[in-house]
Amino acid sequence: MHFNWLHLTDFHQGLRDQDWLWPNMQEEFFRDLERLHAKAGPWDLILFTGDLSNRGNPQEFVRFEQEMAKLRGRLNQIAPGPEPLLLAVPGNHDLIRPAAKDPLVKLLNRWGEDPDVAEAFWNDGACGYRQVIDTAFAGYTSW
Amino acid sequence: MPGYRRGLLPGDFSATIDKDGARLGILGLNTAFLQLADGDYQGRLALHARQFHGACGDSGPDWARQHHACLLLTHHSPVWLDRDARGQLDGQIASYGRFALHLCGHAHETALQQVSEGGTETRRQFQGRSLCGLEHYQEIRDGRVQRKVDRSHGYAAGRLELTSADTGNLLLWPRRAWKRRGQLELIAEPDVVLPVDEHTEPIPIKLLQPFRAQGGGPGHGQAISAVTHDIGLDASSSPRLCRMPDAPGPTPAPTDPQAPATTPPAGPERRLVYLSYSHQDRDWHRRLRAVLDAHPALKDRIWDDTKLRAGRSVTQEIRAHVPQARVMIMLGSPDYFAPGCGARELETLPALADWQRGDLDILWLRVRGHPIAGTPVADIMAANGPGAVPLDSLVPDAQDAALRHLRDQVLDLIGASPAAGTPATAARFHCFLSHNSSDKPRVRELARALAARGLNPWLDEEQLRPGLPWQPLLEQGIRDSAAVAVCIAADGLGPWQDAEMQAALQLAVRNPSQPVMAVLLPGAPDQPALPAFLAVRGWVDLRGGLKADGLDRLIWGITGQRLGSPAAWPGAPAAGAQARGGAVDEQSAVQVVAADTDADAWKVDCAALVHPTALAQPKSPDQPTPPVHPTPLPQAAAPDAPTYPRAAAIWRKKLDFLLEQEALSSNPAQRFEIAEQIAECRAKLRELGVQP
Repeated sequence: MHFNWLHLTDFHQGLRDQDWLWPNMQEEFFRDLERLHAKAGPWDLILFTGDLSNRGNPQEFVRFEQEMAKLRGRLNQIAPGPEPLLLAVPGNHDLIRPAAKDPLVKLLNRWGEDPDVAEAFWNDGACGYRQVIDTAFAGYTSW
Repeated sequence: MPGYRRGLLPGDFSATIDKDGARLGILGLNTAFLQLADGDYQGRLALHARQFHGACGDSGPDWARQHHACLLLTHHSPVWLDRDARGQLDGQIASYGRFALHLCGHAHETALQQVSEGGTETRRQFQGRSLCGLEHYQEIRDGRVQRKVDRSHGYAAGRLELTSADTGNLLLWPRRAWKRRGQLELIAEPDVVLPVDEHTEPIPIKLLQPFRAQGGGPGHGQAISAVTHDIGLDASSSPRLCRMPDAPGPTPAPTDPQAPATTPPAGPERRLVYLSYSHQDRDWHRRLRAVLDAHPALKDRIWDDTKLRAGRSVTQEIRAHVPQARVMIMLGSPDYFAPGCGARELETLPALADWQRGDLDILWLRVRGHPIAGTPVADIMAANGPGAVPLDSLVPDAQDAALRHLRDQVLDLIGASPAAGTPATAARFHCFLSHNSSDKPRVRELARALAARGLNPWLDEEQLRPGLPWQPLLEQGIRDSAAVAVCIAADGLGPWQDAEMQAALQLAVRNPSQPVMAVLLPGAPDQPALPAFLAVRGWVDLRGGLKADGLDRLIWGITGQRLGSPAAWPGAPAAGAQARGGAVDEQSAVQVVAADTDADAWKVDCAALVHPTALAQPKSPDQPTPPVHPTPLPQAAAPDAPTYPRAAAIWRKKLDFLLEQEALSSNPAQRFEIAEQIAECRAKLRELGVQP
């Protein structure tokens, strides 16, 4: 009995120069998946540890989803079967950066120096700090 | 999906995967929520047990116990967390061996780490390589700004095997894009030890609850046993740890204290100084080799790919020599650290593994600008100091100083004295040809003749770059040359030549091992007017043209090595030398002076051309016997004369000159140097039996 997974991270969908550098790399990635499948597949899970996108905007997540669809399609070509489940956590590129001069953002940047910030953040789910974070990750959350 | 629950912060979640009666828990936590802007966030990010409990419904530990094994996902590795958050992670979230593996990313580099502190359950962390990591930076070359992209592509496959009711194994197949023949190919990650079939050795884990395979039989266990048997490993064996960076770059970390102590097999003796570089940096390699080769303690210890033997396997030769390295010098540049650089796989990464074990020292020199973060040497202090200012951004003098500093560091590491036999300068040229521009055609001929004899002369028209101020370059040329030849023809010294000569003489005062000599070209007067200090150094007479014997003499003066056999030297019957009762060997160069004084074609003062220290050194038996002219010797043969009268006279003149300079100099540093030279002169005179 075993669980098999693919661990992917830091794709940075939308990164400058990715549009012309990625297609060749993707082809090699798909070729290598076929090689590795014989040893380590079939995969139950795709675990993605953040930075799916580069700026966290919804368009990038749409494009990212298209990339994942290609990946799933390729995996299905290699070995038809149940589609692997994609599970992901967000990275620092999966948020839309808030205005740096926003007072709440400035206070969040003082997290380590002002314990009141962390206390309010963890204890009050409706506080302004949490709203800043929810807004920043809105693109990721919608995806 | 069933078993999926969102958590407190965006992106926090827990999920349960059921498969054949086994339950795998996945916990994902957002570690990026404070990284809201550019800047260095290492050690500043937050994470809290509330996220764990929130994602798991109520109690994280209860959720975990419902699974046979759990995995933790975060974007950042723990090194990015602040102290409180690391306490939360270690003490509240990933405590009690709750997670078989913590998967993370962010640093674009692969790293596998396994830590057990104070006998607690082992925590394992795998940092994956970016699927599409593109790091943009700018580089200035030849005054032009060039945009560059560092690429890092990779991914990993993983497997959790449930091997028995209570135990399992983790296997990882990390992959990485590698440039081969100009194209990127995904291969097994070289940064991780993958001993068999491109995966890690099985890493044993304890299950969180007993596992009974569906169907009751040990079928799965059998299947897994078969896998481990096939690869010749004991499934219960302890994992052998791979590189364990705990930093965004591949920072080497201490090995797992719980891992069994392994005694590496005795390898070959480590005595080589291994030079690893990209062929794009071959000019830097050449310059460094010149500096290293000049030191007697290093000359026979240097190894690099120029020593590969024709017809042999490059890979095997390199693999055979890296384990013999006591010190590995790496010339850091964008090309050297590029994933496709051949040196990286065969030299850099194996050396880093040896470095982690303490088997060799790494000295890396940043010769061209590139981002250090993310390179394999990010955590190793560069040989060019904090900040590692790239050599190509320095003036040539500072570049040479950096190369010499590197050489001294190598000597220190191998336990040799930097001073022993070290030339005072890292000479790039054999001889600086100072001349009047009206004599250019003849000097050009001389340069060609020297080049044809394997020497590398400095000639202004070849070395002065248009558009740059040339006086400093002239001085640099003198500094970069092992010797200086002041060429004199009919027109005497030119205006700048005089300045060059003064500079050369000043440098010669500070560096007595740099010979400075006059070279008389056709048309030069019978009695050339030379400054006293140059005159006492004698001259090489090429007034009769570029004849082989004249060039031999000049090369002797430049290199200190006499060419040809004694029998071939003019007027030098070996029997005549022996007939003088062995005086030749004892009197060494001084007799050469005396003998040659009468020779028509040879008017070089060899005593001045031989390095001053050689005068006091016993002669090696295999050195050629200096020629002795058959005509009577005016001074040296007299039995009552001082043993080395001519040498004593030269040292006396040098002493007088230095005393004069000392009186005139107001610069304390210069006075100190002159005082040292004076002390040396006095010591030599005493050795020669003369009261200074």
